[in-house]
Amino acid sequence: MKPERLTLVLAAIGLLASSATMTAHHGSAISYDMEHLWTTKATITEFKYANPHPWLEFDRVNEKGQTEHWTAELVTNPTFLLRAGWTKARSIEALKPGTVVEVTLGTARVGGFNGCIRIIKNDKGELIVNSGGAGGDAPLAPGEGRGAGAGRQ
Amino acid sequence: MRIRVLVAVLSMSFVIPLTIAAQQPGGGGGRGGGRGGRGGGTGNVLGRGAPTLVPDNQPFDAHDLSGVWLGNKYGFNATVEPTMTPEGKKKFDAQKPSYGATLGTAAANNTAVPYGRRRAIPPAQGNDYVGACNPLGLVRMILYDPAPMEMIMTPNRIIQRFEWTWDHREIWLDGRALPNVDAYLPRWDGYSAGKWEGNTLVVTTVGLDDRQWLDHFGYPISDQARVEERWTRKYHNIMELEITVTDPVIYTQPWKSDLVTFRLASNNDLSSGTGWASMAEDRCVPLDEVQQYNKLVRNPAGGVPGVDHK
Repeated sequence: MKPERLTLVLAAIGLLASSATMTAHHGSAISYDMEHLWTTKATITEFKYANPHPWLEFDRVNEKGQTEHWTAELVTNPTFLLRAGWTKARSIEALKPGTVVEVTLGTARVGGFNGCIRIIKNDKGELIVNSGGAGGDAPLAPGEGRGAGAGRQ
Repeated sequence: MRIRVLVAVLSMSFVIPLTIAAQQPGGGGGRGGGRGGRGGGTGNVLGRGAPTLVPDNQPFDAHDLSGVWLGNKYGFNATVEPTMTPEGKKKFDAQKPSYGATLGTAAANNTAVPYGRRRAIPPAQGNDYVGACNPLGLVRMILYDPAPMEMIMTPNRIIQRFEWTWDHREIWLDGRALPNVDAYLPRWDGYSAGKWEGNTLVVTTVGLDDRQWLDHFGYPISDQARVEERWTRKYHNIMELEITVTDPVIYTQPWKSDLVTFRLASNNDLSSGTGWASMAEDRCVPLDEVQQYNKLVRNPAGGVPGVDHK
């Protein structure tokens, strides 16, 4: 492993070891049921790296074999991601259209294909574009940590 | 390689939660979401519910508050329910925040928590002016944990810069009298004058725009409010703040904040993986937030029709 990569990995471990809390900065996390997180394979169609919260659009195939098109925001914001090493270029590359990832999210309380993402893993099972965890007071998912507090809420 | 490891360790230290011994338990306050009761439990990286923040024992000038600071409070007072005037209560009831325990959940029934912190509704259905990129307002901005805040000292005033919303305010130290509120246009950050009482900087602010909330939880304030901040640099790396709001239009008696603790930020706090260490230009930009995020993401998730993504 290259030293630079080792540095980033260790920094990421630091992030995951943190028990920091984040909430969506406009209070938007409460729009979602973050107490019942679920996981799905997702094929990225678009990733927007912008304030106040980056968001993903993705397709998933449901249990009936039907394709659903989802919109799901991350709880964190770009400044947090930058300070965690997830620059714009790196994040967009990791989530470019057509990429298949595994996302863990809570669904909007009002229903529909809207969610709030807590975890994104690539096809190697690595955590990527760390969303900073924490959807308001929602519990942590297994294996998830809270993100660094540099993010706005 | 040793340098790399050091960088990594520093990066990790950045995310290890810190607090100082003086921090009161339960000061964190409920935060957006359905569970509530996070008052003093898990904390964020900069303050709540974590190991002790240790003074670094470096020399410092107690009258020099300059530097970038990271606070540890997310609301005004997590335990005391203020008594309001009829006008204050009417205004409080009209303000619909999106932070704290979600209205209708079990957590919202916890009467040990001030009511403002357990009445949250989705922002698409609420009326938090921040969602449309309006200014935060003075006290809410100061308490915007954990966004960095910089203090710049000049001979006759202090400039405070705030990362989130990229706002600033002035604290005049030239001995000037506070303005007659009725003669001046109220401001979102008001008119502030400060003086030293020993090693505590006492700042008094008047002339606040009454559309602002005192904190995320929709506690109101009027343009007759008088806000006193007491800033004390206790150590080189630790500063404390207490705020008292006196507003007879809204509250029947002065309301005192929780003790707020700030720690001095390092370059590493502000750069981490990127190398460019500075406060971020985190403006609320309507082109991003109102035109895109609210319409495409926030509103549909809150039960309000969004717009076609394509």
